[in-house]
Amino acid sequence: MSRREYWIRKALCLGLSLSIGFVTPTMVCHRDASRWVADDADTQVSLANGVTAWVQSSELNTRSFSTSAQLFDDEWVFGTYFMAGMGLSQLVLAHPSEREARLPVIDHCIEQLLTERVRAFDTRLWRQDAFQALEHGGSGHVAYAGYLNLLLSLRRSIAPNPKLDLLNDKLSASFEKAILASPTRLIETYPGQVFPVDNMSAVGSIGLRAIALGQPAPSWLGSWAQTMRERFVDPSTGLLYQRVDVATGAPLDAPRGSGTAFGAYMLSFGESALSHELDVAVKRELDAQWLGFGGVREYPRSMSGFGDIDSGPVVFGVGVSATGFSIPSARRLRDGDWQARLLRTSMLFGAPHHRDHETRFVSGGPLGDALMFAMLTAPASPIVPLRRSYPEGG
Amino acid sequence: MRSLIRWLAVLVALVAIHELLSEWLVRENLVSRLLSPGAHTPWLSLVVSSAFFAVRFATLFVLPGAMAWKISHALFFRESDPRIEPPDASRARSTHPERA
Repeated sequence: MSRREYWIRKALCLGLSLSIGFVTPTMVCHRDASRWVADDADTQVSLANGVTAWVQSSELNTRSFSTSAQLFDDEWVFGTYFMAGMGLSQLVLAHPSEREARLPVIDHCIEQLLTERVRAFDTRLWRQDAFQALEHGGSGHVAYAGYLNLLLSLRRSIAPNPKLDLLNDKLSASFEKAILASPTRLIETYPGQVFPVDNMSAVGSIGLRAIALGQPAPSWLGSWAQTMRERFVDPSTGLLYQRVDVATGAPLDAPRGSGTAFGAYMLSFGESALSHELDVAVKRELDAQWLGFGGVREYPRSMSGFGDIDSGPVVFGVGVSATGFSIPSARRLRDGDWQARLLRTSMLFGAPHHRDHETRFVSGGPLGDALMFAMLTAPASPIVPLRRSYPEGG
Repeated sequence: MRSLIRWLAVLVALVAIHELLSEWLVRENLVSRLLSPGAHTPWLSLVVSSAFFAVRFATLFVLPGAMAWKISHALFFRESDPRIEPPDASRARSTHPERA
């Protein structure tokens, strides 16, 4: 063998092994990702079964988590029921034949969210119960009641329930009053703390309630969105500030991926124009990709920062939460390539585990599984409530 | 061929370990604790999660390429072929003072 032939053969070996080494992980992760991109009903139902098992488990409590802070453990229990309820409702809206089986589980999630145990984190920080405060014309509590109301509005799009619909009406009226009375058009998450992302849940819930009732959107929604654009969206990146001052509305934190993507998801239910702008900004400013995998940065490229309880771990600038929360953005933008890249990454790190028509993510746990379920089944188009003639239940 | 079989055995073993770890971890809910990492993270969770991801990444990223290297090497450089020796080595031997 000549020297030239030897090195040609070596180069061929190297090229072949590198090609296979690069292509195999993408192909393996794409196998699961492609089912989600195609909205495969069996895949969605399988994860729904896994999430249902979590929320019906008697062991789901703060001991299921270990964030080192009681507040965050409590918030994660709340988040698990909320996300599970959202995901299951989205599943029913996409596949109405699932309604009979899933509605009792959705109602179980709502019942749990209404318990004192699950809303204790909000009560403790406010030193006042959310329902008592809102009943007496108070405001705030958006971290608890805003998210709850979004789920109630989504539940209302599936089937009526007099008790829950009444609560939905009360919460929506209370938030509308508080938002319009606030000089910043934002409500406090906790005393003295304002997070625009949490307000997106309240506003999304009000817009979605109108859709569920077949009513036109509230007239103030457009001007509220304009205020957000002018004051709480970073002009250079188009991303949402994570936290702002309660009195002046001045930014107290950077514009961030996790807050912007999650805010866009919740807002998409009731105010699609601003939601679309946030989706576009996330893709434009934060998209990161390598070898067929994709991630979303937590901070814009001109900034750097550490991870926190909102962002999850941040690795090489890419945030775990920002990446997961951006899957609905890719779905709404109908950007199949972006969606596939994000999903491959989710499958790589999430490590889906399938058994007996039940899917769970190895790195998911109760909150991770419920959150991924809600993100993976997020509607790509505005919600169309199930027909009134659909058999009533729940 | 023997080394190829050895690599294949490693691949099968890693896939088996990966599946067993997945099965166990999905029940024990250990890896999800890394979603809020910090000094409070239980060491067992950290060790097991690291092991799981090491196995997963080795199985997905390293082994396929390594297997391809072995297979392509076996195809392009047959072990029984005496011409397999690299050009530098054959030149060094031919210029060795005792053999020259």
